[in-house]
Amino acid sequence: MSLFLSYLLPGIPYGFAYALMAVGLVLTYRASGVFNLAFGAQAYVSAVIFSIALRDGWPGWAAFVVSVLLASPAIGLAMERLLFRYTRTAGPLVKLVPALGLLIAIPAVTQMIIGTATRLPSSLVLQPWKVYFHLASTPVSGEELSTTVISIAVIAAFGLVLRSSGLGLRMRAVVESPRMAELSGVRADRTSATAWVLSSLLAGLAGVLLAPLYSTVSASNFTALLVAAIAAAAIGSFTSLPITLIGAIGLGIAQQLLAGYLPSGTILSSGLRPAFPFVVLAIALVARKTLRQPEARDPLASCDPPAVAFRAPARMTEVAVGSRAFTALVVGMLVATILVLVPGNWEFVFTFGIVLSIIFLSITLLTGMGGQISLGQAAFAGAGAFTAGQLAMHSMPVLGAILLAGVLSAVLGAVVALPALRLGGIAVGLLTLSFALLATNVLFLYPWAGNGATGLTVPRPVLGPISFAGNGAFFWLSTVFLVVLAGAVKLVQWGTTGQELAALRGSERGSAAVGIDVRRLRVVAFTLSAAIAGIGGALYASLEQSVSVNDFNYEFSLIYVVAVAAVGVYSVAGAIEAGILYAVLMQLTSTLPSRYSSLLALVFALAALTYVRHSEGVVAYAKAWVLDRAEQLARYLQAPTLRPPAEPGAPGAPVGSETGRAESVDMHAAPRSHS
Amino acid sequence: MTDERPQAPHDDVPALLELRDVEASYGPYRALFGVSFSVPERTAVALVGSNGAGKSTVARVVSGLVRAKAGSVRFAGHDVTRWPAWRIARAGLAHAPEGRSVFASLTVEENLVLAARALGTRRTSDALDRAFGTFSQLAAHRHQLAGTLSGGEQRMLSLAKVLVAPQRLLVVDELSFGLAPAIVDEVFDMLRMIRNTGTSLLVIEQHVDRVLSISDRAVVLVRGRVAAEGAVADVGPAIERLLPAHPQWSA
Amino acid sequence: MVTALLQTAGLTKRFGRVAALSEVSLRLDAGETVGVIGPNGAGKTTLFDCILGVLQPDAGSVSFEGTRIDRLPVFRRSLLGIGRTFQRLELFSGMTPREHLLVTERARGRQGALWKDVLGMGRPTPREKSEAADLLDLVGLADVADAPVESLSLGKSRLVELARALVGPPKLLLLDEPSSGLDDAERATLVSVLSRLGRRRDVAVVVVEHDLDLVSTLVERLVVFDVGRVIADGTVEAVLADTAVRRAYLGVGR
Ligand SMILES: Nc1ncnc2c1ncn2[C@@H]1O[C@H](COP(=O)(O)OP(=O)(O)OP(=O)(O)O)[C@@H](O)[C@H]1O
Ligand SMILES: Nc1ncnc2c1ncn2[C@@H]1O[C@H](COP(=O)(O)OP(=O)(O)OP(=O)(O)O)[C@@H](O)[C@H]1O
Ligand SMILES: [Mg+2]
Ligand SMILES: [Mg+2]
Repeated sequence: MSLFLSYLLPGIPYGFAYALMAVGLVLTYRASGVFNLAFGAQAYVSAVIFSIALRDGWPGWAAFVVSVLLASPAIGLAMERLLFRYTRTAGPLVKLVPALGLLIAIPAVTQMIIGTATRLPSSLVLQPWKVYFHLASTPVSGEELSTTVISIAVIAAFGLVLRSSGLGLRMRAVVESPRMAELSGVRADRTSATAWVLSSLLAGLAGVLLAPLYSTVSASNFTALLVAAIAAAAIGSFTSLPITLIGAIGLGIAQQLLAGYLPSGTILSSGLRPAFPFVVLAIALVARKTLRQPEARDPLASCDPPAVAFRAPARMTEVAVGSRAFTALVVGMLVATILVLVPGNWEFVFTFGIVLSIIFLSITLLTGMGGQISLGQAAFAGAGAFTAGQLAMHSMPVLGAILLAGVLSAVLGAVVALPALRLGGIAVGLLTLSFALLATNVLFLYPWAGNGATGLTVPRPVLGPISFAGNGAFFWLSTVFLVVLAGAVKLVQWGTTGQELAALRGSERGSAAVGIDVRRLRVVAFTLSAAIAGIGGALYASLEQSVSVNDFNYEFSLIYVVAVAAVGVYSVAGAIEAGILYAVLMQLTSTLPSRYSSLLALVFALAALTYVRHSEGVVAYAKAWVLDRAEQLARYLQAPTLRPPAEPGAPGAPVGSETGRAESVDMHAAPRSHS
Repeated sequence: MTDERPQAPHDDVPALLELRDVEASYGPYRALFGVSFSVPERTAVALVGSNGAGKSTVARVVSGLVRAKAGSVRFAGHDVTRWPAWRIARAGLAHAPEGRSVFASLTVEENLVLAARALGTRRTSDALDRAFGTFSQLAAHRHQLAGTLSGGEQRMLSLAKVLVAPQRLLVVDELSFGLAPAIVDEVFDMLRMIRNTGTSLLVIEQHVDRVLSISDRAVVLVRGRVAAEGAVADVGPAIERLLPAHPQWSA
Repeated sequence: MVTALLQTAGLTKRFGRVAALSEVSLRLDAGETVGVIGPNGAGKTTLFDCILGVLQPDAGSVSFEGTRIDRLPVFRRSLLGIGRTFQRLELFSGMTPREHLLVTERARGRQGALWKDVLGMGRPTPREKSEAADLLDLVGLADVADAPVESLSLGKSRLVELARALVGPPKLLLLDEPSSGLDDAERATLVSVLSRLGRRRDVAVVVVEHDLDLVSTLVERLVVFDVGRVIADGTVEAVLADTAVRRAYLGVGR
C-alpha cells in the first residue's frame, strides 16, 4: 500500500502541472477559438526569462513580475495583434497553422535573443528542496507543495472571474462570430485581446511553476507537458474546466503508477510512459461525444467576400499560355543547372527537395483537397521508410520495396482514418498527432520496425542494368516518381473524388444528402495520402541510405504542415514549391555560421505572419498577383482605347483590389463568360 | 390601420439616418452604386427590391458590418461611416441580420443576456421578461442551445435580441423569414407599436404589401441603386413598375 | 393495394423534454404532392431529418417503396431517390452553382471511381454538363452559374439548394421552406417548377411552407403539424376550414 502511495503521490504535482497547462489551453480555445499549440512554447519563454533573471541576481518577485506579469502577456498581445486577429472568422486549419509556426519559432528565437537557461535555482514561495512533511512516508518537498497550491488557486480564480463577470460569455460569443457580438455592442477586438492576455498569463505562470519539475529548462520538456495537457483538455471535451482538472491529475498519477509498475528496461516501459498521454488523448478524442459536433459557423460569414478560390481562376488564353511557358522555362533551367553546373551537394539538395515534395503532396491531397488536418504525415513517411528498409534487408529489390512501402503506409492510413471518421477540424489533427507521437516513441523503436536510434540502411535501387546509385541517376528517379504522383493527384483533384472532397469540405450534411459516401471518401483521402507519404519516406530513406526514428520525429509533421500551408496547400504546384524551397533553405542555413542556425525558425515565424493574411499560400498569392497584372497589361495592349470610362459607378470600373484580383465584378451586370 | 399613424412625416423632420452616395463591394464584387436616402426620426421606412438588389448590403453598411467604399453614413448626428459596428450599436442602432443570426453555442438565455448586457441595459431580468413576453415560445426553450432551435425559433431569437435593449433605430432584415403566419402577424403588430413609441424603423421584407402597410416611407432598390424613394403613397406606382409583377396566386 | 412510396409508422423523436415528433404515421404515394404546414417548432424539419437519416428516431419506422430504410446511412437513402433542401442552407462553400450540380450528378449517377480519376476519366461528361446547364436555366441561375456560392444573395443561394435537390430527378423531393427569402419573381419561378414536377407521376414532393398562398396553389393535400403531432391531413379546403388548424397555425380565434 505504501509502495502504491509512494508511486502515486509524486504524480500529483505533475497532475497539477498538466492541469495548469490544460486549463490554459481550454481557456484559450474557448476564448479565442485557437487551439494554441504554441502554449508550451510561451510557457518556456517565461521560464527562461525567470531563471535568467534569478541567475543574474534579481529578487524573486522582480523576476516573477517581469517574466509572468509583463513578458508573457506582452507576447500574447503581440500574437493576437499580429496573427490571430486575422484568423477570427477563419476555419480550423487557418487557426492552427500560425500556432504551429510559433511552436517552432518561439523557442529558437528565444534562444537567439535571450539565451538558454539551466535549472531554476529557486522556486517561488517555498524552499524547493526542503521536505516540509511526509505523506504516507513519502517526502513532500516545497516545490511540489507550491506547485499544487498555486495551481489550485489560479485555476479557481480564473474559473470564478470568467463565470461572474460575463467576460466568459462575451469571449464565447466573440469566438463564434465577432461581428454578431459587435452588433450587440461587444468590443470584439478588445475581448479577444483580453482573452490572449489572460491565457498568456497562465502560460507564463505555468512556465515558471513547472520548470523546476525538470532538470533543464528545455523547450521539448514543455512540449511534452503540452501533450499531456491536450489529453487532459480532451477529457474535458475542450470545454469543462473541472473535468479537465480531474483528468489532468488522473493523468499525472497514472503516469507515475505506470512508471512504477511496468517492468523497466523494455521498450514498452520506456516508450509507453511518454506515450501514455497520447493513448489517453486518442481514446478521449474518440470517446467524447461532444468533440464530434462540428464547430458552429459564423452566421455573418456572408459579410466577407468569398474566400480566395481553392483553385486558380481561369485566365485569358495569352496569359495562361505565357505563364505555362514561363514555368516550363524555369523548371527546365533549374534542371539543367542542377545537372550540369552546380556542385554535387546541391544535386543532393534538390533531390531531397523533390523527395520532400512527394511527402508534401500527401498534405496537399489530405488537407488542401480533403480539408482534413493531419499532424502525423511524418509518421506515415517513416512507416514507408522503415518498411522499405526492412524489405530491402530481406533482399527485396529496392524499387519494389519502395512501392510496397506505399501499400503498407496506405493500410496504416486507413487504420488511422477509422477513428478519425467521427471527428472534425482540430480533433482530427490531434488524433493524428497522437499517432505520430506513438509511432516515434514506441513503434519505430522496435528492431522489426525502425530499429530505434540506430536505424536501418536502405540501399539505392537498381533496375535491371540501370543503377540509381549515383546522385544524378537518383535525381531522375525521384523526378519520375514526383511527376507520376503529382499527375495522379491532379487527376484525382479534377475527377470525381476531388470534386466530392471539395463538396465535403463545404458541407458534410449537404454532401451526404446528395448521395456522397462521406465515410468512404474520408478513408480514401487518408489512404491515398498515407500511400504518397509512404513512398516519399521510402525514397527519402533510399536517398539518405540510412534512416532512423529521428528523421521522422513528430515535430517534422508539424513543420511540414506549416511549410506547405504557408506556400500553398490548395495546389499541387504548392507542394513542389514548398519542398524545393524547404530543401534549399535547409542547405543555406546549414552553410551559415552556427549562430545563425535559428534563422530557419525565423522563417517559420515569417510564414505564420504571411499565412494569416494569405491563407491560399504566399507563393500562390504572389503568382495570382503577377498574373493579374499580366492580364491587365495584355488587355490594355489588345485594346487600349476600349477601356471602360472611369466614371464612378460604371459597371466594371475597378475597385481597390486588396484581394489580389485586379478586376472587379458588378454583381448586377450580365455575366462574362469564363473561358 | 393607416389612421394610427401619428402623422405623415415631412422632409423637414430631421434625419436620424442618412446615406449619401454609398458605394459598397465585397472584394471584387460590387454591390452598391451610390445609394442615397434617409430615415427621418420616428419614421418607418421599408426597403424593398428584388433578390440580390443590395438590401442586405445597405443594412450591413448602416450597422458597420460592411464598410462603405465611398460616400457617407450619418446616424444621430454623427458621421459613422468609419465607425466599428460596436460603436454604432452603442449609439442606438440595432440590426437584426437576415438568416440565423444567433450564437449557436450559447443558450437562448445567454444570447439574450449578452445582447442586453453589452448595450448597458440596467436590469437584465426585465429585458428577458420583455423578450419572453413577446415570443412566449422561446421561454420554453430558455436553456436550450440556440443552434438546436428550429429555424423559426432562431428567427424569433434574432428578433428578440434586438428588442431587449431600447434603441433609436431598428434595422430588420427579412422580417417574416421562416416565421409562421400567426407569429408574423404578432411581429408586425409589435413593430407598429415600437414605431409608435418613437423608434425609427428600416425594414427589409420580401412581402412588399405587408411591409408597406406599416411603413411611412419606402425606398426601392434596383441593382444596387435607389430607383425610387418617398412616402408610401407616392412610390406605390413606382414599385408596381420596378419590381416584377406579382404573380396571380398571391393577388 | 399499391405500396406507398413513403410510409412512416409511429415515428417519435424526443429532445430531452421536448417531443419534436410523436407517433407520426404518414403515407405518401408516388407522384403525390403534399404540403406540410404548422407552427414554428412543430417538428416539420425533424420529420425530414428522420426520413433522410440525419437524425435517428427514438421509435417508429420509415419505409421507402415498401422496404425499411431506417437503418441506412443518409447517403444510401439519398441514392434510393430522395432529394432534399435544407432550411438552414447546406451549400458547398467554395464551389459554384454549376459545380454543385455537376458533383451531385456524379454522386447520384454513381459512375465515379477512383481508378477512373487516376486514368483521367473523371471529368464531367457532356451529358452531365448539359443537364446541369438545363437545371440552372430552369431555376433561373444561369447568370450566376460560375460565381462562388458565397457571393450570392440569400434568395439565390436557396435556389441553388433547390436545383441541387432536383438533380436526378429524385422519386421523392423534400423541400424545407423553399420560398423563404425569395422575391416575388423567384417565387413565381418556384411555383412553375414545382407545379411541373407535381404533374409528373414519378416525382413525389413534400413541401414545408409558411406561405399559405403559395402552398395552396401547389398541392391538393395538406398535412398540419403541431407540437410533434399530425393534427390534420386532407384536402386543402378541408384542412384550412378546420378550427383546430386555424387556432394552432393561423392564429385565428386565439
Ligand atoms: N459575401 C459576398 N461576396 C460577394 N458578393 C456578395 C456577397 N454578399 C452579397 N453579394 C452580392 O451583392 C449583391 C447584393 O446582395 P444582398 O445580399 O445585399 O442582396 P439582397 O437584396 O439582400 O438580396 P436577398 O433578398 O436575396 O437577401 C448581390 O448581387 C450578391 O450576389
Ligand atoms: N438538438 C435539439 N435539442 C433540443 N431540442 C431540439 C433539438 N432539435 C430540435 N429541437 C426542438 O424540436 C422542435 C422541433 O423542431 P423542428 O426544427 O422540427 O421545427 P419546425 O417545425 O421545422 O419549425 P420551423 O417552422 O421553425 O422550422 C423545436 O421546438 C426545437 O426547439
Ligand atoms: Mg438579403
Ligand atoms: Mg423547420
